[in-house]
Amino acid sequence: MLVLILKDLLLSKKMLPLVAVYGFFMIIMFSGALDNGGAAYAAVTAAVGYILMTRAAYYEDLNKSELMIMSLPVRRSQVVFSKYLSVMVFFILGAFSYGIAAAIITLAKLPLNVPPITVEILAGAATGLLLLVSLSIPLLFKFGYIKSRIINMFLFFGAFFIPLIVSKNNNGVPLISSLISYLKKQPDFIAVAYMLGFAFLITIVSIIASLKIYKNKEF
Amino acid sequence: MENILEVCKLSKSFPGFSIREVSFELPRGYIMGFIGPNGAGKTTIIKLIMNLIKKDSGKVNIFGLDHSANEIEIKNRIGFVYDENHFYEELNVSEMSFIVSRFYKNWDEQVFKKYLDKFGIPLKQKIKKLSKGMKMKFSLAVALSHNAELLIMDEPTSGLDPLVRNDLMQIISELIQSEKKGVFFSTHITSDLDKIADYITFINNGEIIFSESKEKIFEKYRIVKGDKRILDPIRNRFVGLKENSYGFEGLILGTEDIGIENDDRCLIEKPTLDDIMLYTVRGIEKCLS
Repeated sequence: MLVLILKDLLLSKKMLPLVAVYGFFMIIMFSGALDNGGAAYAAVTAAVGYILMTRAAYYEDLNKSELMIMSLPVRRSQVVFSKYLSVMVFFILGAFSYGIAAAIITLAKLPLNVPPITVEILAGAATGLLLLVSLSIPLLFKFGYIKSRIINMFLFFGAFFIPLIVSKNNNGVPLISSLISYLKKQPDFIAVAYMLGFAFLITIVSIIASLKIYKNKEF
Repeated sequence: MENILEVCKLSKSFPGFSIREVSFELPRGYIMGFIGPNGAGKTTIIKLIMNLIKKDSGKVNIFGLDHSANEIEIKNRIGFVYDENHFYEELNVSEMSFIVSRFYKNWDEQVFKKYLDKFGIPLKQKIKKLSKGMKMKFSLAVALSHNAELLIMDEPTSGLDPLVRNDLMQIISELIQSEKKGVFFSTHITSDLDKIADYITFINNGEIIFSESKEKIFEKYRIVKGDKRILDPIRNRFVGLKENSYGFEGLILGTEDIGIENDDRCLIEKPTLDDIMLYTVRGIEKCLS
């Protein structure tokens, strides 16, 4: 399974230099916005993970390479699990990139404010990414990258704009409104646990759906 | 004799096309050519054997094992070459082989390097920069580097120049010197098989027309050419027939006398696989219409 994750990393290697400079980019972009810097960081980290994942899927589709992979001695379930694990690796890369950039800027005493990245913000980024890929990976397995890219594009932008719209107009939706106010009253670690718990639950449902789709997939 | 590949009453339906009760056997130590026109179902059968598509019914046994229940073990012992490149074009030869090699229990890096040297494929070359012939050779190098006992090839020679095709035939001939191995090789370029195949399986429109040793096939079929005036009494003996204003040429199945053997206006020849394929397909088309 590790080699399948490595395969995804190799396929997205063209994007990896961007990940390396991504931390610096984030700090430069949001150094003046200490209040919202963390939230922006979370959103962009989720986006980076998502983009790397879809990049690998694009190359997978380009030469119908699943046909080759499935002709090798590999279980279909391993292919499914490895895709979710690859996303986590991409997420960790994004987080490291930011951490290294922050350390370099702080040590070099550059005149930039480094928005603090807390556990809550990292959890928010992980939640966003997990929800996003939980919806898109089963679609990728079912239809492939090329056929599902329109839906995935809507998902990608929806993941950023829908929470924004909901948070601004939540008075009209009592359930969301009361959920948000409930979470705001909780200690941070409880809110984080709820968030991650929800994301993991959705991810498990997504993995089960992907396993079912891939088990019956014909190449 | 132990069969390395057994396909029994294999069926699969798609909208507008179906594979119907396909059966054949390949004994260990031999090469089977799998022929048929485009769209006959060759690639579908190969995908069914490789468990890339699910069968509706029937059995596929490889090395005596069910292909679905023992998929991992079987695929460890199979080498495959497909008609198109399915390797990741963005990766180079070294990266791609690193990934593939990790899946096989018996990967032999020395053998792989030997084939790369022999084919003149640079390790650092990106797959997408390789020519079609080189891509096929790379695919072959991968297929031959994990001590595969059965080589499954789907139209490996399509689109290749005669030199590369000849190289491929040479390698397959060398490979089969070991009696432990088997080769299942689909193609619509039947001249490739004239040289190397021991058995021929012919599929048309999702059905097996025959699956036999090459010698037996050539014994069974005859090409009959002649003057139109001698055609009528034997017309119903033809599998496929081509007529023009001067005469006729057709394929006959069976070794029994047709009654015109000694007629000066008739010529009887051994058919090529191309003749058999061509006339059989035309004959069937004629019957359908």
